[in-house]
Amino acid sequence: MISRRDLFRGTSLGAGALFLEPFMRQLEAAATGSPKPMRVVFFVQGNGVYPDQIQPEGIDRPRVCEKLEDRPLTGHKFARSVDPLEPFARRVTFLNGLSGKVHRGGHGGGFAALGCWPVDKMAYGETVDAAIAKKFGGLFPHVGLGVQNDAAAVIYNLTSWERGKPMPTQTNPIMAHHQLFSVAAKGDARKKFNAKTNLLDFMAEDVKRVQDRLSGAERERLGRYLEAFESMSDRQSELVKLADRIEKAAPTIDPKLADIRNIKGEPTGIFDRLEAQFDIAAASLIAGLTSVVTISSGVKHGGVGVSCNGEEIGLAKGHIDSHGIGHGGSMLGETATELHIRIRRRHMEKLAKFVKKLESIPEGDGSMMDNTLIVYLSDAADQHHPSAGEWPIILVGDLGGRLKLGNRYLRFPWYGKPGHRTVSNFYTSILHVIGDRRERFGFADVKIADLNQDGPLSEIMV
Amino acid sequence: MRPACFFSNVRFILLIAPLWATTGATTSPATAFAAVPVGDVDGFKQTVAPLIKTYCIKCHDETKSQGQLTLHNIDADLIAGKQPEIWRIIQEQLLHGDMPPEDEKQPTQAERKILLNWIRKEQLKTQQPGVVTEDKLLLPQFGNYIDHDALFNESAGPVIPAMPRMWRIRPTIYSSLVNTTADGNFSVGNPFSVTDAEGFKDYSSMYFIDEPTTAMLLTNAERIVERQVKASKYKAMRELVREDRAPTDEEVARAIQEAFRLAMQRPATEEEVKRFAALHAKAVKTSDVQIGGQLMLMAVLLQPEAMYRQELGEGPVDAHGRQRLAGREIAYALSFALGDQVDGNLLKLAEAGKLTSREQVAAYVKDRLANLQKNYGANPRIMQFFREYFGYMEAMEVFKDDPAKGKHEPRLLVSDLEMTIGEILSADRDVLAQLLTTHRYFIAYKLDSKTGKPVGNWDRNYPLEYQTSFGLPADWKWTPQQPIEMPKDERAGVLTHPAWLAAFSGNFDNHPVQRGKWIRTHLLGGSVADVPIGVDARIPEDEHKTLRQRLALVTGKSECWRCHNKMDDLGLPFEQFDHYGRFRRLELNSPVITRGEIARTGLSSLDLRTADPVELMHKLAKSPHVEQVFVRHVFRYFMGRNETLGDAGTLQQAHKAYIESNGSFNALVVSLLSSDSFLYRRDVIDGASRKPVAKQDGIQQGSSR
Repeated sequence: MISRRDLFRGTSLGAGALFLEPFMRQLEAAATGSPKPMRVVFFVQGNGVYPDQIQPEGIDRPRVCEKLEDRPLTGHKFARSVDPLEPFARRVTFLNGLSGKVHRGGHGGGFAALGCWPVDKMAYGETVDAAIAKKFGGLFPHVGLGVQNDAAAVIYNLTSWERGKPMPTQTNPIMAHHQLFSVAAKGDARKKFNAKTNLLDFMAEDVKRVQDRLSGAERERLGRYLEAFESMSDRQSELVKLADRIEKAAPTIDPKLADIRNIKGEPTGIFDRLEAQFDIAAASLIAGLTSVVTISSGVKHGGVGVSCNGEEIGLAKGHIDSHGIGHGGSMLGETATELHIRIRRRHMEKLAKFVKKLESIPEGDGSMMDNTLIVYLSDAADQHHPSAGEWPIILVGDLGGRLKLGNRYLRFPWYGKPGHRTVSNFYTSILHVIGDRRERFGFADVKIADLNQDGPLSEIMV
Repeated sequence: MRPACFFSNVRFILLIAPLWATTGATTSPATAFAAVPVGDVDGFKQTVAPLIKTYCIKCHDETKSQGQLTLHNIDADLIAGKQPEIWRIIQEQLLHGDMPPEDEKQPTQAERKILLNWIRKEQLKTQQPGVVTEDKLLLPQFGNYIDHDALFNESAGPVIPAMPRMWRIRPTIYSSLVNTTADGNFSVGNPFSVTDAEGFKDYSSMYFIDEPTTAMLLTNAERIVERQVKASKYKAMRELVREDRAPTDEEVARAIQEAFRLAMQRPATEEEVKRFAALHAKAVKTSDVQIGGQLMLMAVLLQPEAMYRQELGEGPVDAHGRQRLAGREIAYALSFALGDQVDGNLLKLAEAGKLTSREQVAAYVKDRLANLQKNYGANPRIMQFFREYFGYMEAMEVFKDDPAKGKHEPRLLVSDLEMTIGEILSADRDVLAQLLTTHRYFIAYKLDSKTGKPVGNWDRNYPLEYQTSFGLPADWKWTPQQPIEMPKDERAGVLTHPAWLAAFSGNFDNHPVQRGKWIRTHLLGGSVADVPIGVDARIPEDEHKTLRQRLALVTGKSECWRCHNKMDDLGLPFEQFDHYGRFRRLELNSPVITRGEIARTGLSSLDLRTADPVELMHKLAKSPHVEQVFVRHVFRYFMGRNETLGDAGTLQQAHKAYIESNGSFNALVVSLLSSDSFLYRRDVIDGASRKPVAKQDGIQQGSSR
């Protein structure tokens, strides 16, 4: 087992030498215009993506689909809950009919959504965003941002680097900004950044002194604390070199967003925070700090999406409880379905802004968005209590044309029928086109063991 | 090289000279543990492999692999190898006569013994202190892997304790530290968390401080220091960041001392002052007096000594390769074993050199635990043990609709259960037996914080018919005359209390397998392998079948029964309660079948077919073996780690203390916290040396005795 120490401190190059290399290649590529850069963004929304609610108008949705459906979206209006994406229809793909029953969850899928294993196994292995991050590298190989109703700043329930090593989702935008962009600050903030290197180096020495009195596993464990300071110190130096880029890209975030209150009946501010997180995600991609971001909404352990206030989704003031609507309860005179739609639409608004931002940054012959793939899904598959017989996914982008995506509606044959495919096959597809050619990602579903669950989705491979 | 010998006979057995003799006599631990154990691969080839070939390969070779088990190339090295789990399965199957199957050729008793002895001998090697074959074995759920007989029923040599360690502080300790250093209640995000998994939550092996956590610690430290330099009582720290001029060297030193006293509860050493002053100078140079000064103060808060519970040991190394913890380390260890703040009195004792001997430590703990009922607030870790051991808090996470006639109030149920536990702890006699058999329950009861008098424990209105969870009628009126005596033939202890039952249940059904597993692991000291990865462990729905019947449909299959035979018959007796914990005689209009069985314990005195859960609990409550298993769990909780064979002495003494005090939990805790396992660590430099450790810079030494 490679320790994180090995991963992050390869050679004398310093900060994650193993990671800097592929990353530098990407930067070069961006400059010279050959092997195009790649970036993948996962957007995971709690409480299910109900397939009926996202179905484009005019496309029938029989309960069980016998054969593969593959048609363009042209001429079909987007459903209300996702219509903020309609201006980008040429980039959008609806990926329906993939199952994910291996997760076996009750509510949220946690690590299972991006990992393809049973949810109760927690951080059982490497989730797909981590696998991609390992391939791409970068100063921050993976950035995890999210929103949720309560103020616990860092949650660990979605991404895991390897077994037992969950990755953080930072739900406080101010802290996220701090962690990513403080090198670009001016005045006192920059002075703090500078002096911080002194502090980090001092702490590393301090921890080493104690480490010398330990051995074996104990030593290793304390070593993580040491690595933390060493990594951060190395990263400081690297960030200084990129200060100009970062300054240009860094967004302004309202400091009030750090004050996360969870008082029923009061505005939650959750959509403002979501927008801030998308801004931060965009900036970190633009500044080249990372190539893989996972943004999530309401996916903490036991989480079922986000609650909000009626005012925040165009209704009267009043508490909208995510668990309640998950159980079909109406609130403020609206049905659960209507509330789901409105909440999703607000999420999609923020996603659309994000897409627009990336489209506005030139890259190669086109824009950054051309070389990006956004994967939208829920950790609860198709509904609050997921059956996961189908796990709806919406894609935006085609990763620089490496996948046959855009202006497309795909629906795979129903669970168990010939031609049926799983979420795992989809993740395998992404891995294949970025150069990770493993046969299968995650665990196979034993209930459909007679179907070949290996390999990518040939329908989207180029 | 021993001559190959395939025939079992007494002479042959005596020729085997294992590290741990099978007769029970042990070699001296000091020499036994000096060498790193090595797997007996030769012994395997000569004695074990032929037997496996004769009796097992027929079905478990590479082509047949019955039960998905292949043995033809099994890894013979239990220490360095990768198949310890398979050996445990083999051991169990042999021990209980499950394998070979009845209709196949059977090994003789002597041959069985050879196999079992060899396996046990090898396993014991892996259970010595300091031998870590797999990281996962350090987790709470693997504590039972350590051989029970070797711990309790063989004479124990001197305790060989654990390695020196730095134990990451719990979230609650961190909060407490923040409030102390920020001079008052100060709410910051808690970068630490504890596992969501059931079982003990604060094992030192489970946690480390990684980068995202450190990032948060830095941010919090920044905010705390901002407060510190503004507080009027911290004069030196305020002067450090003065606006008019740079501080003098003396002022810097004073600020460092003030910061250390606040965060570390001790003065900084001369060497530390030098180091931190150097940091100060550097930081001021790169930024300015204010920022540099604050950064230096942040460093004080981030030191490993503050973020971890330091247990390194100091002073002379004794003949067994052990070092006692420094006085200060003992002060902190005792404080954090019982609560979340360091006890200033303990620090004073340590400084005065009065916290070194076992007797001194025991006296302190005894005194502190006296009048426990009044002092729960000061000793929150006591009740926390029972929460983590029994797992009843989970009741508050299980969503249930209210029953047709009644009210399911999990919070209240938990609170009432803790009243029962509290009563038992206060009497402090036969504590375990009482916990497993009491039928005195409290109903919506608490003691008023001001008057100390019993009052109803509800917010506005009494939750309608809450008492029906306990089988009391709907028109029952609350009374301060409590506890209430439940029918003796219906209720026995924590496991028949609605809170525990609800914790081990789902939205609509009981969880008999979970309950059985709990009894197997927490009372019988057994172990159950994880659910195999492909298996969907769900009981099928069928509105015409009882849960017992539905369960049998799935776990009766041979590949499932191998593990379920350890659980189902222990958990199914509790079907005499519905999933709200209410007693019932009927399920689907038929009488509930409540029979169960204690089996596969390896103790004929304990194995028993039981008629109902009450009989089951009473049988378990009387068992010394169950007592010992309980002692092991208490050990794990307070030590923050699994026991090893090196802890046998501590465990035996602790059990003795429990028995001799007529089942006093306090006496048990006193024994454990003053044990060699608690107070000593192995001496290590690069894992081997026994040279006395020189005083290390920056690590405050207590009085050297």
